[in-house]
Amino acid sequence: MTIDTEVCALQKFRMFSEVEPGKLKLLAMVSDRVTFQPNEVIYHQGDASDAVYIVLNGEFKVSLDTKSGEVAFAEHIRGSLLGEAGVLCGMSRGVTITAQTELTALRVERDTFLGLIKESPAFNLAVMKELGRQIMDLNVICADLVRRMPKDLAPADVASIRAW
Amino acid sequence: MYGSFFRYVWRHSRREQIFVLAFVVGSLPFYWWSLDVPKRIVNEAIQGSAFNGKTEAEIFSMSLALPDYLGGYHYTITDGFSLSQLPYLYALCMLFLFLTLVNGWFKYVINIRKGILGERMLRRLRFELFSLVMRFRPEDIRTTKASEVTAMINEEVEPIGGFAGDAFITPAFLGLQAVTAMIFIIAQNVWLGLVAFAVIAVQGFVIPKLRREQIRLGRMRQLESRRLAGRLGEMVDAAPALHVYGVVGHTAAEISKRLGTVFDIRLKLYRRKFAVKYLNNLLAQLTPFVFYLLGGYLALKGRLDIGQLVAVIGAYRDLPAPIKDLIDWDQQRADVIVKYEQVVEQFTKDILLQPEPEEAPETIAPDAPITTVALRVVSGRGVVQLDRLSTVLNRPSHIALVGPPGSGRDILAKVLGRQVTDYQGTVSIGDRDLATMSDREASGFIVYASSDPHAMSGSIRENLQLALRRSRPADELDQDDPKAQYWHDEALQSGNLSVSPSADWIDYAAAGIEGPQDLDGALIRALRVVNGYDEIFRVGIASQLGDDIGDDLKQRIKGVREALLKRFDEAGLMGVIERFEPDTYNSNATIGENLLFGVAIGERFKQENLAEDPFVRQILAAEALTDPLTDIGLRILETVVDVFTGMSSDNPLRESYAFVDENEIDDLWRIAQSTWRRGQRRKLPAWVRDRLISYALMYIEPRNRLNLIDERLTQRLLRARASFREYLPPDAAGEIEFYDPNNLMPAASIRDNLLFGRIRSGKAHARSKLLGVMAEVLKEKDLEGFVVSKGLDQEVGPAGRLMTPSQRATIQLTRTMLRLPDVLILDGALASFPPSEVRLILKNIREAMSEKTLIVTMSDDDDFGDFDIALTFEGAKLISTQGGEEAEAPQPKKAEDVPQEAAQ
Repeated sequence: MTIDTEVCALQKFRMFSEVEPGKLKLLAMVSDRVTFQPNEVIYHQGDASDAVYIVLNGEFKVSLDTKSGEVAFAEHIRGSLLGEAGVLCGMSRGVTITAQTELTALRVERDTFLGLIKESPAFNLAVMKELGRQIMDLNVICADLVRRMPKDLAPADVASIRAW
Repeated sequence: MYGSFFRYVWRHSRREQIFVLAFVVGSLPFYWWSLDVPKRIVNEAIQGSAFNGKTEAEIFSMSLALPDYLGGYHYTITDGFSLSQLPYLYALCMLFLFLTLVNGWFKYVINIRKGILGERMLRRLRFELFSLVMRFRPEDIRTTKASEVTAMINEEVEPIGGFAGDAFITPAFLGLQAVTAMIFIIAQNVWLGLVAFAVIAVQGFVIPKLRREQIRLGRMRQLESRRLAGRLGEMVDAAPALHVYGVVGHTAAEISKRLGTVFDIRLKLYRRKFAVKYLNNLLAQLTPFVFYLLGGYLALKGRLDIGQLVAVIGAYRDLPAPIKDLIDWDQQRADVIVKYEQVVEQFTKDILLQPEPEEAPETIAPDAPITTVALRVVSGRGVVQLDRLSTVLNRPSHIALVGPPGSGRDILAKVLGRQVTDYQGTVSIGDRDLATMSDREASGFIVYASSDPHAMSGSIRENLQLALRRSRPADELDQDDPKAQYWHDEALQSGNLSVSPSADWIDYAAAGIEGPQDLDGALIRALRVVNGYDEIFRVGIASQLGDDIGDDLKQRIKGVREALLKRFDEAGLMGVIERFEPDTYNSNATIGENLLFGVAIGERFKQENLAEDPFVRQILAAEALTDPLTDIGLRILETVVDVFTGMSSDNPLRESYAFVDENEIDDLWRIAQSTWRRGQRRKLPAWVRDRLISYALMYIEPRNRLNLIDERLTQRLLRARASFREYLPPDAAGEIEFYDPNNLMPAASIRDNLLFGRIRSGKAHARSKLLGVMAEVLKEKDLEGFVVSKGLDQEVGPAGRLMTPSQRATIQLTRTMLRLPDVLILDGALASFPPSEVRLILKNIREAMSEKTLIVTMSDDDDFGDFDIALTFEGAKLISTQGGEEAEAPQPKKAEDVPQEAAQ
């Protein structure tokens, strides 16, 4: 796989539809292409957020360690951009991501990713749109959860859910 | 500080000065005699006046006689010899020669003594000035320009020190000589004496007047060049910022203006100097004219004999030199006094820190509370930075100072850390006032860590040990070593420290260890607390193996190589490494590395110089690689131009193509395109071809992913590799160390020596996994200490510039952990770490400081809930205190009594 094929792959992403090809080429050039075997962990919850991953192909699982055991997170709200929130906020990884099939991704180092955001407004917008989409999806899930919640749930339980 | 220059010099060199002055006085009779002998040579020997018609005359007869009015007592010491005229002449000439030698010897001894004296004073002065700077308050240090101080201590005091030798001796020596010569002339003939005196009077009166302007200009020159030095230093420091804003032009204009001012002053000075010189020469040469005229007249009239005339002219020839030198001395004096006063003024501050006391300070109880009463800090511009803070902080406790950056929290931390000493109110610990403590006392139990950590050039180890170099070793002297004795005595002569810096200054007790053998262990423990151990291990494993290791160690490292392979295999990591194989192209190394198949030792085969090396080019040409590599270079250039155009050269995004020089791209691209257009793709100018090939040699396919390497190319490169090794000229044999699985490569890093290959791109976390396994194996083989020790040996660069900000911060935190003081203040010391790491480090530090006092500045968002005391500031005011007690509390309670709930 070369830079050019990576750029072609990136162009098919909805979030990058408005990013000019030159910047996508830049993105490909400054990132490392990495592959993961099935069941290989891409990153662990609590690790330092050192890089962002853009999944080119393959499937992965999102899981979250909580007080009441591991919770598999709704996969469909994740796009192909992984770890951007932690990098942007300077927080450690909030979830664990594990490859389920053989997976190919572009790995963008933290500083490089932040540099790209400064360098290209279109790229910046693409990342914001992706984050926005995730929030919208989460709203829907949240509403769904609230609807399913028993009416007499103690406030403490709500607080503990919030603490995740 | 010292009052007048002369008093200062006299006070510190009295004995030596008197000693040399005795020499000066002792030389005078010989001087007089040497003036007198020429007269006798002419009169007695040549003209024969001593003989009075006899064939022999007495010589060297010596007698003591009292004048007639005292009784005319006469005592003959020796009758001397009786010699005929020619031997008489020889004897007198020999005497003259002897006297000349004696005079020369006196001059030599006096000059040497004077020089030593001056050098000692210079050494003393420099040391005292340095000690003074070290006693400046932190506030004053911040407003001092380092380069100006350096210029003053280093250059400006040099003439001052040198002049210390001249201060008393030169005027005495020259003055007495001049007076002797003058008296001698007058003794021969009063008229000639008066003429000589008149000329000297003119010299002595007019020339200093003319020189006054010269001195004024000299002073201006000094001030101006000091300012220039200060400004230059600042600009060099600020160069990166100047580039960012593209304002180099303006700064250049400013320097240009200053250089112009210096030039102008120097020019004026020159004009003056030569005018004075002209006048001086004129006067000096005019006098012999008068002497010949008047002296000749008197001699012809018989009122002066020829011998006297010769002697007078001889004496006069000796006279202008001392007079001129005296005038020079006077001018130098004026100059040096001004310089001295200026330097002293620069180093005089109203308040200096306490000098270091000799005796060990009394200890302060670890639970003595910190009390501030009406503490108020006003900045130099009159802004209140901390407003009337009265509080009691019980110890031991962990205290959070909370607030936005720049608020009172920073100021309080700096006051407690003694970085701000200009405050109103009092701060005391137990019954001791913080302000009156000496460095030694305060540093014994308070350690302050800032957001701007300092590292000094030297190794990481030295930088860490810095924190412990506080026990002054006993001044022991190796009696058998005369050199040591000399160094020691000289240091004492000039008031310097006589203890060698290479003696053992480490305060082992402060680090809680027994002796030097535990030191590395203590460093490692401290590094672990601040989460810096892995970093040092990484630095160590990436550092050169070096060839100063023993055979035993070599064998063990080779053993690790084997063990490592086995372990990688077990861990399924073999696929992650691409080993160096003599007959295989290593796709994860650059084309250049593949060609060399070894480590460059000198400059010649460094990656960036490879393309220009004639031998390398020959090899490439022989395998018909020049054109394909040029094409690869062109593709790289094309890509870089395509993607990076318009991006600044220091943009971190360029990192993966950092080998392409931003400044050349435009030229290269223009030339490449124009040859292209003319259809002469192969006819690139030589330098363009060189650059393109050098780009190609840096290419790594899996990383750069431009799909430029195919089977045909790798085959050719492998052939080139073989012929490179085969035809390597003997003079280049020492420039490269070929990869050899059975040998170590001293010039390569420890990691490369162990892996003996490259980590494949495209495997996420492979590097950290490999390093993890490597660390494990090294630990099992008991080589971890060796690697860490290598890491500690790495240089930090001037002011630590080779380190990243977080590495510098790690060094600083490690220092604090080495000391584990009673009170540790972290004032933004964790700012350069990412938040997740901050939490971890802070947790470790808090554990390490569990029985002690820790003061940390934090922001409102941080989690300070489990601190014993939290003081929250808004601007200059303290707005809330949690957990602690108000100052009004009559009896401060023990920290243990503070209810934990209150801290929540």
